[in-house]
Amino acid sequence: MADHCPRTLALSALLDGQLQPRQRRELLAHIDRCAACGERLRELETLRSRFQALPQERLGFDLGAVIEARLRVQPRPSRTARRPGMRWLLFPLSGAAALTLGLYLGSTLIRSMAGDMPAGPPMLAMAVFDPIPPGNLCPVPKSCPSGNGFR
Amino acid sequence: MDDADTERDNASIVRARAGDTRAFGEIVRRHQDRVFSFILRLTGTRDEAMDLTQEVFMKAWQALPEWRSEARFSTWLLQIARNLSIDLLRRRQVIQFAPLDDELDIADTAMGPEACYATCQRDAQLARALQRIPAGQREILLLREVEDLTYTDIARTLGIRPGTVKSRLARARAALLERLGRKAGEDHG
Repeated sequence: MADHCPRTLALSALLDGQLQPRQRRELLAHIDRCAACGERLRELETLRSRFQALPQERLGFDLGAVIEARLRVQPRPSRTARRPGMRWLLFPLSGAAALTLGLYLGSTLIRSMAGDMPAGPPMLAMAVFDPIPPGNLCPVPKSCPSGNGFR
Repeated sequence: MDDADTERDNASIVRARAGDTRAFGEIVRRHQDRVFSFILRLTGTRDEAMDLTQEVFMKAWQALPEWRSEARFSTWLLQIARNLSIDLLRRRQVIQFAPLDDELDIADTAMGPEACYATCQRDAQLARALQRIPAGQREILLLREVEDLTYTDIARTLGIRPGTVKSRLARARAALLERLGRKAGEDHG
């Protein structure tokens, strides 16, 4: 594996001028004696020159004009609007607002159940479960709340 | 980029930050080919590289207030380009697996077919080999060999330690040489 060759790391750093003067001297001395390392360094240099010879790719149109046109309909960048340090404030604020609204709505429900609701027949809804369905004749007149013999 | 370019950039940035879209347009024109070229070599597809290049500058406009003059503007742009390209490669899910097709969009030069035959062949071979190494190795090679960034700037762009740059570059070079046809890397030292 190329990755495990210790010389590649050193030669690569030598190519980039990243070695200390002493390390550089020692490595150059080694290269003088080691044909394989010399060959490897030449390969790395050739690779670099091939990269440098690559033509720059061209976009082929005036992107500046395109961007300018897009920016005309876009708001100006604002330092304050994008400041990340203030963004954290939004979360607790929105949470507090939601909690307050929830508490308010909950309290109105409790108030209406406790006293604001108009007085009506108690447990009217439960009449559905009476043994005598609405509109039926009462077997005994007293058994119906209206007292007229009808449910 | 030399110091004069950097000064020109800085002057345009001051105006662009104040909302001058024409000043930003000038910046785009100065950097568009470099950014496009970098993205194209990283992603391998011309159409996507064109879209991404546009996106890079729109993001740069939005983030312009956050740019600090300690970082070179061109390096900052490459950082945005790199992040968007890596996102694209992740979406394609080919971050570790380079496409094996030979129909890369790279090496489309203005030279005539005969004049460029040998050069184009060599460039195309290099482009293909680049696409066949992992994206992490490809990006660091492009930043060093094509963009000529220092180790410090590469570390900043990739969000890694400068010490990691050294080893990652060595691995990337070895991998590319291997791809280019040499059985490399025997421990002969």
